[in-house]
Parts: sequence; structure tokens; C-alpha cells
Amino acid sequence: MTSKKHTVIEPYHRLFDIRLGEVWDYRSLLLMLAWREISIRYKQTLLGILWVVIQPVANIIIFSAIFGVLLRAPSEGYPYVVYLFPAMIIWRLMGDGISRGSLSLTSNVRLIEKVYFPRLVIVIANILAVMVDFLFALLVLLVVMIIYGVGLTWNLLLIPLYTVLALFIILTVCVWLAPLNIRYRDISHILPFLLQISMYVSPVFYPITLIPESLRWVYSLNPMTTVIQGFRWCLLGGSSPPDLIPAVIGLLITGGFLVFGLAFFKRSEYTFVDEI
Amino acid sequence: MRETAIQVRGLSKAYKVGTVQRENKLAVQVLDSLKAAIRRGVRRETTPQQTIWALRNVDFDIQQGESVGIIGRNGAGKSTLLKVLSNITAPTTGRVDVYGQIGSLLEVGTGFHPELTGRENIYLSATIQGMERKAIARRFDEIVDFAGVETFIDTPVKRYSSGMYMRLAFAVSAFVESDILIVDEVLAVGDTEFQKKCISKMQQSTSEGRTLLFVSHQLALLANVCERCILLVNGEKRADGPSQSVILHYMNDLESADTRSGELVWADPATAPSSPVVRLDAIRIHSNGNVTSFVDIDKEVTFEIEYTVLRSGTPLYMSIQLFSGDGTNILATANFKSANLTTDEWAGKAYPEGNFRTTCTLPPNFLNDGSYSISVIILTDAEVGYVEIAKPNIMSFSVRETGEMRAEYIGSWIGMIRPKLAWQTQPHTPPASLKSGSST
Repeated sequence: MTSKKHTVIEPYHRLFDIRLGEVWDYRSLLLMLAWREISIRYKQTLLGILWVVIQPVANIIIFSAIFGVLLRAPSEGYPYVVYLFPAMIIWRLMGDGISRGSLSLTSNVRLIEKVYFPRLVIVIANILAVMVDFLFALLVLLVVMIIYGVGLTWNLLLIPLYTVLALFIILTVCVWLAPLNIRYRDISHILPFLLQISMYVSPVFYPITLIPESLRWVYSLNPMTTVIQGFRWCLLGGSSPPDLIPAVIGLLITGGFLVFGLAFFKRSEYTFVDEI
Repeated sequence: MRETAIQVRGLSKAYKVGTVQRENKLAVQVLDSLKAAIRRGVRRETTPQQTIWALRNVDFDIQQGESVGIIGRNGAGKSTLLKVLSNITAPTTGRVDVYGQIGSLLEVGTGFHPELTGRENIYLSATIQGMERKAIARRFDEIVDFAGVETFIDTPVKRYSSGMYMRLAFAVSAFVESDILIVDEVLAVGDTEFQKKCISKMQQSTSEGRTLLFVSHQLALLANVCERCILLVNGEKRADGPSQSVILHYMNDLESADTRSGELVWADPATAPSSPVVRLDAIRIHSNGNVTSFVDIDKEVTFEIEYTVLRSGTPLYMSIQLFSGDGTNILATANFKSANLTTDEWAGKAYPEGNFRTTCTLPPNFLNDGSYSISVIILTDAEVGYVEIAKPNIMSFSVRETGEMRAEYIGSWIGMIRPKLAWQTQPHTPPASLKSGSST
């Protein structure tokens, strides 16, 4: 045969099949879809891209007023706003990433029904689109820190590490929930509720020191706890860092879920269209 | 000897009616499986699961540079075949080998977003269809030129007229440099001139060695574009050969078809044509007080569409296209306010959830005698022609002579329509100059 691309179309028969390389082949589509998500979000809005900043800032002001001023939550010696801010933006990244990624297949039904590409591309594109909001919020955070006179430390260099870990958690959840949401639209109803719970069981509004000593180890298994604590520690330098052993165990378990999740996703991909 | 482009072996595709749930809700499924378990426990009976074979053991080879038409009635498996070949859904058994890049045009404007500009949509849609960024940049001007939208290229496409939208959308697909192009009944839209342009573009690409796979109900068009046709009947390959003979075979089949009851009802919502917004329930043809597919030429014909709105708040329009027996499009009509002889207060209104029935009436003495078919289209946005559901050639009917207009002439009336028109003759006085000339 010639050098022409050869594609085999067959029923699903492999037990464990991930083919991540294919996603790489479609990277230009991935970027295009991410760009589409970003650019349509603020079209025909008066304030446009400013919303990216307004939303998190408004959120943080409200929560600071409630938890910091009214309830006087402890904040390891930092002004409450500064303490809450990093945790809030990394949690928002995870929350928005999970909800957009998990619903991305059902919200792009028209595309999925009409053209082939690895479906993971759409999930990842939606997650990447959320990254833009995150990066803007991070800039605002740096400004706020300077205003409050919080010194910057070398820990800042670890920001990319924790951001990647956050993306890793998002992807793990999405490869399970996105295909499930095609079959059971219940996912889209349960999801906001689950995310809200996850916010309260992670150290967003309060330091981990509030958790009783005996439970702290179990509490630290939650990979979201690791990422939130780690990210805050990168920025502030003086807050408590993640507890290494439970953090690593939690992340390894998440990794296992990701590997099996990718196989589950690939398997579901064969017949998505028939179930929509 | 030409090389193989597509090789299909033993291809079958089954849809389990049991697993495509009537409700995609977890609670319903859990309840159902509980019920089933209890029943099984008590009576030891297994729940019957109905399997529908959309494709059955299909084999064929297509050589590079060939243009092949796929024909068959609705539900014959044409769309499923295209979906499997485009890798959108996996087959149940069998294997397909595809040599070369496939471009599938199953919809006009794949990936188009109304908020984005023409320029942005060209890049987006072409990327989705597998084109490299550099290649898009290189062909960009040609695409814009082909679509004829230069002045509006930086305007959001939601402000385009439906014609402009369709032209741009098709132009993108026409310039995607794939080795194999799969086209599904997309030329039914757009004006005749643009259709011709598209057809010649497709013919040109096959002469350049591109392989073309084309599904259409417009048999005349198929015969023109494709050298070879494959006829599918109930998911099986019934005929495969030169277009003319396969089309003839198909038309003979159509004549003896058993679906000509004047009524098409989807009893099972799982198999009914549907979108997230709306589901078709039934289509009927009424004439002379009956539901029938045999219509008298001097009687009104009423087409009835029954549908269920699944998501409230979406404005809907109904549209019908009428085709003659050889697939020529006679007319398109819709309940747009400006296109309606009467008033339809629901047209374009945000529907609540529920069941609706829309009718459209053709006047008596309108169609000539012969066989016709209709396509039913449900639109959500009249301006861009956003199609929710399109069922091409969903139903056929015949118009019969009754002796009307036959008092004098008994030969064949030429043409597809046969209206009574206003004729008048009067004596008149010629101008004076003529009069004087004739008198000398």
C-alpha cells in the first residue's frame, strides 16, 4: 500500500486500551476548542474579560466578610483575605474544571455526533479553558499580596507543581463523570452538590489545625487537601505545608483511578453516540 | 489498477432497544433493574431485550477516486453506515479498513458557533474537520471567495443570512484536503446556483483522485455525480453497480413499498427521530377526510406533523420540502410568519414541554399526477436555519387523476405542478399605424 494513513474501524474488543498518543495527534484541535470555549464565554458582554477577575474577587470579599470578620476563622497569623485567596482560586480551578470537564461531552453533542476525534480532546479543552480564569486570578492574588505586604518566597517556584496536581485531580474525576453523564444525566444534578461538599471538607476557609489531631492523617489523604495546602504554602510561605506521607498515598490512589478511568473513558467512547 | 480506499467486511451494527433508555435517569434504571430482578426471582423469566440491526453483514470495496452513491429508504441503514465509516460509532461486528484521511460532511457547519465571526469559524470548523492550521491559512482566501462572504468575514455568523451561513459552512468542508469525502444529504439546502457550484466542486475533486461517498435522496443528482451506487434495504446490501441500474432497481422497490399507508408513527420514543429539544411522534397525510397516501388531484392535501417538545423555551419552526419521484425538489415551505398564508401563533414561539401538532395544507389542483415525497424539517432558528431534526423523504404519496381538467385534453400534462391558472382572451383594436399599413 501507499504511505496513506491506514485506519481500522472495529468493534471494541481490547480490555485495556488508552491510546493517549492519539490525543497528542489532535493537539491543534484541542487548542482550537479551548480557544472557542474561552472566546465565546464573554462575547456580547459589556465587561468582557473583566468578568474573569470580578467573579473570584467578589466571592473572596463575601467569604472573607463571613468567615474572617463575622466568624473570626483562624488564619495562621495572616490577614484572612490573604489566607483565603490562594485556597479559593485553586479550589475554584478544581471545581470549575471538574464541572465543565464532566459536562463537556453532553454540551457538545452536536459535534460528537458529526465528526470523529478522540473524545478526550473535548474534555481536556474544557479544562484548559478554565486555566485562563485561574491565571488571571493568580495575577490579582499577587497584587493583593503586595498590597498587604506579604513577602514573596522561593516557594513560589513550586506553583506549577501544585497546579499540575490540580489538573491531574480534575482529569481523574472527569474521565469518570463525563462518560457517566452521557448515560445518567443525574450526574449534572449531583455535581454542584458534591463540589460544595468538597469545598467544606478541604482546608479552604480554615487551617488544617482546626481538624482534631487524630483525624488529620485521614483528612490529608484527600488529594484536594494536599493541593490546597500546598498551593497556599507556595504563595504565603508560612502556612502549614501538606503532610507528605498521606499526601503521597492519596495522590497514588488518585493516579490509579486516573489510569482505570482513562480505560473506562476509551471503552465508553466506542458507543457514546448510541446512548446520547 | 486503482488502489483500495475503503474495504468493508462483514459489517453489522445493532442497537439494543432495551439499553437505549427511554429516560436517561439513574433512578429509573435502578428501579427498572430492581423490578426485573424481582420478576426474575419470582417467575424465573428473563427480560426480553429487543435488538435492531441497522446494518447486517455488509461487504464492499471502494477504489481510490471512485464516487459512490448510497441509496435506500429511511431506516435502511444509510446514516448508520456513514457514522461507522466516519468512526463516530463502533460497529457491532465486522471490520473496516480505511486508507487515507477521511473528511465527513454529515452536517453543514460542523463546529460552527453563532457568536464567532466568519473568520474564526473557518479556522474552527476546518480544524475540527482535520485540516492543519497552515493549510487553512493557505486556502483561506479561496474559501471566502467560494462562499462569497468577503465583506462579512469579521461579522459574527449569527448575523448572516441563512444562505450566507450555508455557503460559508459548505465552502469550509469543500476545501478540507481529505482523501475520502463522505457527504450526507447536505445539498438539500442552499439555492440552486450554489448547489451547482458545490456539485462541480465535488466532481472536480473526484477527478483529482479524491474518493467520494454520497448519500442523497435526489436520485437525479446521484446519477449525475456518482458512477456507482449501493442500495441498502433493511440494513443489507441489496444491489451494487452502475448508478443507472441500481437507481432503477430502487425505484421499482419504492413503487411496491408497503410504507405507503399515509401514516408514519413512532410508537417507541427510543427509536423516534429526536434531538434534546424535540421528538417526532408521527407524520400523516390527510386528504378528502382520510389518512391516505393516494390523493385526488382536485382535493386539498394536508400534511400533519406530531411532535413532543422535550425542553421548554425553544422557539420552533416547522418546514416541509416536497420532492417529485425522481428526487427533484419542487418546493420548500415553512410556518414562518412571512411565509404563511394563514396565521400560526405557535410559529417561532418558545414552546412549553408537551405534545403539538402542526399542519400544512396544499391547495387542490396543485400537483400534477404522479408520485411525490416529503421531507420534514424542524428548525430552531429561522435566521441561520438551525436544524433540530431533518427527515429527508420520510414519506411518499401519489396524486391521482379524477377527471378534473380533462373535459377537453386527455393527453399527458407536462410538468410537476398542474394548477388552474387565470386565462382570458379579448378582442382588441390594433394601433393606427398597423391599420394603415395593412390597408394599402
